[in-house]
Amino acid sequence: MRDLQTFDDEPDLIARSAKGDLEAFNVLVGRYQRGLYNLCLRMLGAPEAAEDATQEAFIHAYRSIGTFRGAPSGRPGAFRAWLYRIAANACYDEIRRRRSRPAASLDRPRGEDKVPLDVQDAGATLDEHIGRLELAGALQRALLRLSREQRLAIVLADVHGLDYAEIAAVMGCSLGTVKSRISRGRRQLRAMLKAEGELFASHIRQVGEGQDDVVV
Amino acid sequence: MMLWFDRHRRFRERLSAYIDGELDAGEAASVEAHVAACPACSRDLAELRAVAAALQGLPSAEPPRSFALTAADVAERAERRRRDIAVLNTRLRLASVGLAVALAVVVVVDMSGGGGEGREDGASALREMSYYEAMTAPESADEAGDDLGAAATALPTVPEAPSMGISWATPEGGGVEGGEVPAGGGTTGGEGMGGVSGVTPLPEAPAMGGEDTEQPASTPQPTPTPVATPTPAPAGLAMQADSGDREVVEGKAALGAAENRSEEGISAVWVIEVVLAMLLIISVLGAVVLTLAQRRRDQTRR
Repeated sequence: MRDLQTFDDEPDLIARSAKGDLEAFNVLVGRYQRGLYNLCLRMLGAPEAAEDATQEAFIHAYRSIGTFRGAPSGRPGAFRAWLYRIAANACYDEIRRRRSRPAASLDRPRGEDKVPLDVQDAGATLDEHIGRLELAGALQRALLRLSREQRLAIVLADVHGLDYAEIAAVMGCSLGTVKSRISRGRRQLRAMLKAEGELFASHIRQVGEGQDDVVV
Repeated sequence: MMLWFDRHRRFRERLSAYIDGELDAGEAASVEAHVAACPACSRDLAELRAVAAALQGLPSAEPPRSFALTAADVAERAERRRRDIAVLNTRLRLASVGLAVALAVVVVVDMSGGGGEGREDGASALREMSYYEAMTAPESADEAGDDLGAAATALPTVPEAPSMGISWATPEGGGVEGGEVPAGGGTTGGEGMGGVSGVTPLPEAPAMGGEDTEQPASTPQPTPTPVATPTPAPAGLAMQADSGDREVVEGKAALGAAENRSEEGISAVWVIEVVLAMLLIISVLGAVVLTLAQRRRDQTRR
């Protein structure tokens, strides 16, 4: 999912939001809510938690939008990076909150994975579809077992398509830290997925046959 | 062999960045060249690519509802925040009051139990006079020893210390030592003055050496500030009343001063007082900052 679209009216919307124009801000919400919601979903692994975190993030963003200084060079991703940073902090808060309330923990037993899946792949056979769903479930579980910093870096890179510089801006760390978090996180995911058995092995084969380059 | 392992590891570390297109052209080329020649790294790369592909293939979820904000949402959050700040403010105020009370209690206990001020004046007076004794010629050493011996015995007896300080100012006072020493200083006034003026800036020294040794002009003497440097030596001197050996005495000066304090239990209570005072300052400052922030926020609202 590459969710960056550039709109010319964004600086204007941002300026109006800073002056208290809630309608202008809601236009921005409409554009970025899917990205933020999915980020929270992958970070937290539970839909209700993701909803809460997304709501928190947008409220916080509206209250503090006066402090947003867009990149003067007009780099399009600046506002998205700013929003994602707020969302990541909201996720961290949610993680911390749920850690202290084990009843609402994020570890769900296998059969109850309720991560909603919106698979837009009409050409897939049922088997492929099921296989993909199973892999997605295994992958989400594996993601939750990573450290939250590694998880954030990997989700931003692979699910949202941010480059390392943008990820560093979101996470407030150095490029080298981003590199090592992604590298180690992927290796850990690989180890966990391999333990799932044939599911991942066939996926590797498919990817291997499919193409040269996964980089977009 | 070691070199091979290192190179290998460097390539492995770069595979993820290579997959993401984050290596510059030269680095990317060298990774490609290595992977082409190394089956282990080639497999590594394939597997990492598969992990990235699996993540990219994760289905995107449709948001369950619109997250557009209403004015009510915003207002409710603002209200909650104001409440949180108010709660924190109240707690800081309570903490300040509690700390102030605790500090007052500790200070009162300290003062009544230790007779703080008088003791310190007495000690500094002791340092003063022993400094002068030390500065005089050796012939007065015995006299100094006697005086100091008498003065040293005065030191542990705390209740007398205030009177000693007082007697220093008004020579008819209760302490024998107080009365004696200025006289001793007076008799050796000539040499004393010479010794003093040659060593440290002590503006009151000539007044001391003059005939009116017992005048109020000498009252500034008890203040330890002009004798900041020589005090360690005389304090040590006071403790070693019977030894006329100044080098040994100076060497033990700091130790003597420290023993002096710990014997009378100042340091532990003093630490507690300082800590309480600092915490009190911090919590008061915090409460003030929060209150000001709250006022400013209320003003901008209207």
